[in-house]
Amino acid sequence: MNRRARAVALAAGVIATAASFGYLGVRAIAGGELRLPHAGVWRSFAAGFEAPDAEFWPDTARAALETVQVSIAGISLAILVAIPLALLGTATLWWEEPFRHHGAARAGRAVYLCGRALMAALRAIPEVLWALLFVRLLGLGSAAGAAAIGIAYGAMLGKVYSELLESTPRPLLEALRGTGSTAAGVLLYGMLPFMRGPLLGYTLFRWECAIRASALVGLVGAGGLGYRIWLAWKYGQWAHMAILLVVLMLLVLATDAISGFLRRRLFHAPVVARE
Amino acid sequence: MRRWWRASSAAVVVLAALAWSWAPAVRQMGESVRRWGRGLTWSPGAFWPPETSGRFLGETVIACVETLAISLAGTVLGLALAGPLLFAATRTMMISGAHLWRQRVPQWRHAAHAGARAALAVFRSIPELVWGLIFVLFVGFGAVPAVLAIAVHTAGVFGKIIAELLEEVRPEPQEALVGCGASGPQVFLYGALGQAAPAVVSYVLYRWEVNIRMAAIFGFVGAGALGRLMQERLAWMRWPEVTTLVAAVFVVVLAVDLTSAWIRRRMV
Repeated sequence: MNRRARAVALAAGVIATAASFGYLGVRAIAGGELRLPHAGVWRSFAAGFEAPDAEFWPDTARAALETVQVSIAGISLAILVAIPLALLGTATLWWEEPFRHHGAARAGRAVYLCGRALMAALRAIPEVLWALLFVRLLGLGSAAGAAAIGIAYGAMLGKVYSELLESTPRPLLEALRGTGSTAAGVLLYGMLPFMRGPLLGYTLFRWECAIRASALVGLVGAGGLGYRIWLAWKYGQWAHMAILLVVLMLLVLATDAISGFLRRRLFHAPVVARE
Repeated sequence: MRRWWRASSAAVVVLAALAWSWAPAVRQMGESVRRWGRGLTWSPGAFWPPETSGRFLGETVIACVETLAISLAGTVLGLALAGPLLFAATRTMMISGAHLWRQRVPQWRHAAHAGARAALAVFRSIPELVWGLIFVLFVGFGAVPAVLAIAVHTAGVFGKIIAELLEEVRPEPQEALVGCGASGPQVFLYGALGQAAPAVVSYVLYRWEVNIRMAAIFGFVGAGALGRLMQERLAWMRWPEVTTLVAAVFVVVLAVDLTSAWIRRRMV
């Protein structure tokens, strides 16, 4: 990117940001929705700090377990969704070398593009939106949360799976082809064994994210800690809300630790730091 | 033998975890199916065709613009919030880099580093939607709590990731700057930030992609734009309008993803 293009991009960014702040500010003030924090709010906030009763603790433990259940159910459903999507979206299996010469490359390419487009479409809808829809269709509770995480994460896993499968070294695949292997053979004996570590490692990393996501979908009615946080907010029980947030934080830290340990010890997979 | 034992015990653990996790969802699905037997409140056909009346489309377009504005304002404000904490949160600047100027690291620097790290961890570990619940209490409904919530969570993430990027840069330019008599902030700006800039810009763009998804679903607490319309229409069971809104979310998210990918491609 040359100097001038960079300046234009920067100017566009600055203008868009300024316009956003201006628009939102004007709307907030003109719409009369904005209210500045005043003493009354603080007083009622302070009044809501009441000690939780005896029933709160077992219920919180149950909610934390529910969040874990939703995350595991969600990620297992996501794996089931991801496998067919990943196979459709792996270029190597459909139209790239070493399969190009046998059969119709154009049809293969069409299949591949459909797979990629389907994954992009499913990824574009956030998991909480899926959860809002499923809560309406399936009712309040963990089934809606598991379905939402299953679809949103299935598309994400599918994309990464297909990228990992595509990055299998070519000579390995060509050797298998040379001995008369079919596409299924190349997949089963070439790609999957070679990429086993990264595939499992990335799945575990996604499970960490699924714990967070299951708390988020809980907020819109899919059960677990998120739902309890929302209830505490609704009834102004700030002490409850603070405790639930701390429990959620500890749960997230614990899953990170477990998943990190498994990734390092069992799969020798590099720890995925970002994304 | 040992291998077989390991594989089978792992399989038992995984299957037990799956059975335990799926039990409540399956029970709930059973209830839903029984309820559906008594008559559905919805059917797949009810979602089609999408609502295309001019009035509703106009409302949707305004909500889309507002959602875009929330995501942009939230991301930029998050960056601005993370900025002052970044210097303190970067280990090479605060502690290990101090030998460039003096021998001993004063105690307050350790304290400032730990404090900045802790503040960023708290910002980051509370999800955006929960920040939204908290801000709605203090500033009322609308787009403002959504922007603040996204900004605070994003600041926590930016603080951690950008500090890591700054710690990974090559030290030689910084040492050269110190040799020329540069001060701490100057070394930070020209020695570290300059080197890390492409990675930082790329990460900010990625975060914008995350935040547009967040901005689109804010709304069940009365904050935000598209999410609020969605929440209303779902509650009123106006399925054709829900279809339109889902399509709108799709378009807005895709537009941001494509813009961000385009900028990133042009940049490198």
